Amino acid sequence: MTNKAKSVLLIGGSAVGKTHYGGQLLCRLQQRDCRLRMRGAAESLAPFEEVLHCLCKGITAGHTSASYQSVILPVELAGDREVDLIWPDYSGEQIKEILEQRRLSLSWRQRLLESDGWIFFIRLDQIRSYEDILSRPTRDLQARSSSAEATDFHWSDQAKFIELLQFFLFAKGVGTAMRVHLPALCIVLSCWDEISSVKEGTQPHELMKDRMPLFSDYISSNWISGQCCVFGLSSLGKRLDKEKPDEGYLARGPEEFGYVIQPDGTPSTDLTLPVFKTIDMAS
Amino acid sequence: MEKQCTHEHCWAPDVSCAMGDDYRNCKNFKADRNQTDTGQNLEGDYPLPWSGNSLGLDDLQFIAARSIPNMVGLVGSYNAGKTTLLTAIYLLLGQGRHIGDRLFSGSLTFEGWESLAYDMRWKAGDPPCFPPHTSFSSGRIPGLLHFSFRDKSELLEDVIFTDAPGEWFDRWGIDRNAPDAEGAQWISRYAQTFILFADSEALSGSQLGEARSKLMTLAERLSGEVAGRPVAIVWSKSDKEIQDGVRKALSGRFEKLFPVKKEFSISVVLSNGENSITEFEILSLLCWLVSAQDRSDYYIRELPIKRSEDPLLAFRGR
Repeated sequence: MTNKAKSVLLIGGSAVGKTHYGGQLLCRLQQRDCRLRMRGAAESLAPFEEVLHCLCKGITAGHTSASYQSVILPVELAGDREVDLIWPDYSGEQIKEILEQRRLSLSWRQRLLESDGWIFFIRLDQIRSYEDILSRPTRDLQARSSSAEATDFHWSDQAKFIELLQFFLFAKGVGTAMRVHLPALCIVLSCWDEISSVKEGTQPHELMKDRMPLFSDYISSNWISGQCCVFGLSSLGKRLDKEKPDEGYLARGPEEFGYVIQPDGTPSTDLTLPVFKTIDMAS
Repeated sequence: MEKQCTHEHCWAPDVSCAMGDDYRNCKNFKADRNQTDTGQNLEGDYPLPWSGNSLGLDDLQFIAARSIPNMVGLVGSYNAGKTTLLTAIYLLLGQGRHIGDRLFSGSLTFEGWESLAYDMRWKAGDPPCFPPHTSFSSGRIPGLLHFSFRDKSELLEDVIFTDAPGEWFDRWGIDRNAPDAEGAQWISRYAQTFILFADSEALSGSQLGEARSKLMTLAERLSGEVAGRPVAIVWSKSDKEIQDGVRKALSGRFEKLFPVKKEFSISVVLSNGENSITEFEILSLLCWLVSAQDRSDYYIRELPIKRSEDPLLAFRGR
């Protein structure tokens, strides 16, 4: 089998857990007992240095710097397939800026053009949900004066996520007149352990549909069903402190913690599964 | 919005350059390039070709490249509930409601939808309110709000709703060619389906006579233009009860005026403590509008694009 570079683009705003996942993913890849594993050493692991250092001490890592760095990780899929995983690392503010300025830098566009799979991180516990006059009716409704400015106007989170994907698909030159085959899309509902009222066995796509129905419809409507999936993810398995080291992490190491919820609702400790699935769909 | 490019169809820097990919090097761009850069490094940046606000004619061409959009013309007097209905549609879709077997598959006007929806949401310490009245201007085209849907046959269909001030229609009802009703005329020409609003509040209040007269004037005008296109009659604010005789008489008139029509009663508020929200009726209305277009004999053969003098671009026969 020939080597083929696969670029997986990680998409996610601030504080959605991209950095912690990157660190934990690298740990798992190096352990070589997951579906995806290293087949040699990477040229540089500099972007992972801080997060690995923090996780070994059982504390959370800091904020990713504003620059964009990427690491090429030589990995192999269980079986005999070898790929080079291009793992990006950037500050989540870049996503916010893209939405606010409605512009992409050329380097971002290049990343979109080169990527075959997108992993989209969403933290459901930070999604703002609103009741409106249809879900919570009222009797007395006044018209807002057209001169009165709406204070604190902002979009709903699901509208933002859809606009971002519309923007990225456009920049990549992928239309939606026909359903999308590539880029393959893996939605990762991160910080799963912090989402309230989730029953055991819940399938992540059901939870996404419940909490963000319009976004869920957008995905179902535009991607070929085998080319998108939804995972739940708890990279750390538990909440860590910024300063006080976690006993468990110190004693057993970060590689013993964290889990994913697979699309069918079953948990797994193999944190490489979302990336494995994305590469598999993109191949 | 002040136009910064001399090219007729270019709205850079808000959207991408109509001539290429960097407006700053374009000979048509007239504004001070340094002032336009908002302190950000825009070297080689790549702007979106849509702004998210309601669409203009140039944006319509962008959609028309992939499908013939179904334009739904909302026709009704001032304060008849046109914008409120549009907002309710967006809120229902946002809650995951579907229009028949159609799935929501995108929108190019999220800024427009979200600014309407923001008013009708509960926020901390800030109760919901109706969206502000659509401001009156003597513009030539209405605001255009967009959705796309995919149905079971896998086809993507674009639906565009017009959002226009009621004053346009009051003028148009009286005088088809009134200079400040050009926008209403535009809607009557290009919409594939219509919603005619009968304001239950006005028709049940002390100004019944005036409200009925206005409504019938408008209905007569519309009937002269529809040429078989489907018309949904929406009894808006249906929590307000109209006298049975009044409603029956009006229904009878509509029956004669519009060959393809259906009536819907719509409300978005509580009435006497009871839930009179007509969620199902709003979805039924949409379902009827998008499927009625398929059954209509009328077919728009001209798209409202600016280069309509070019028959190759303008003709969309089947």
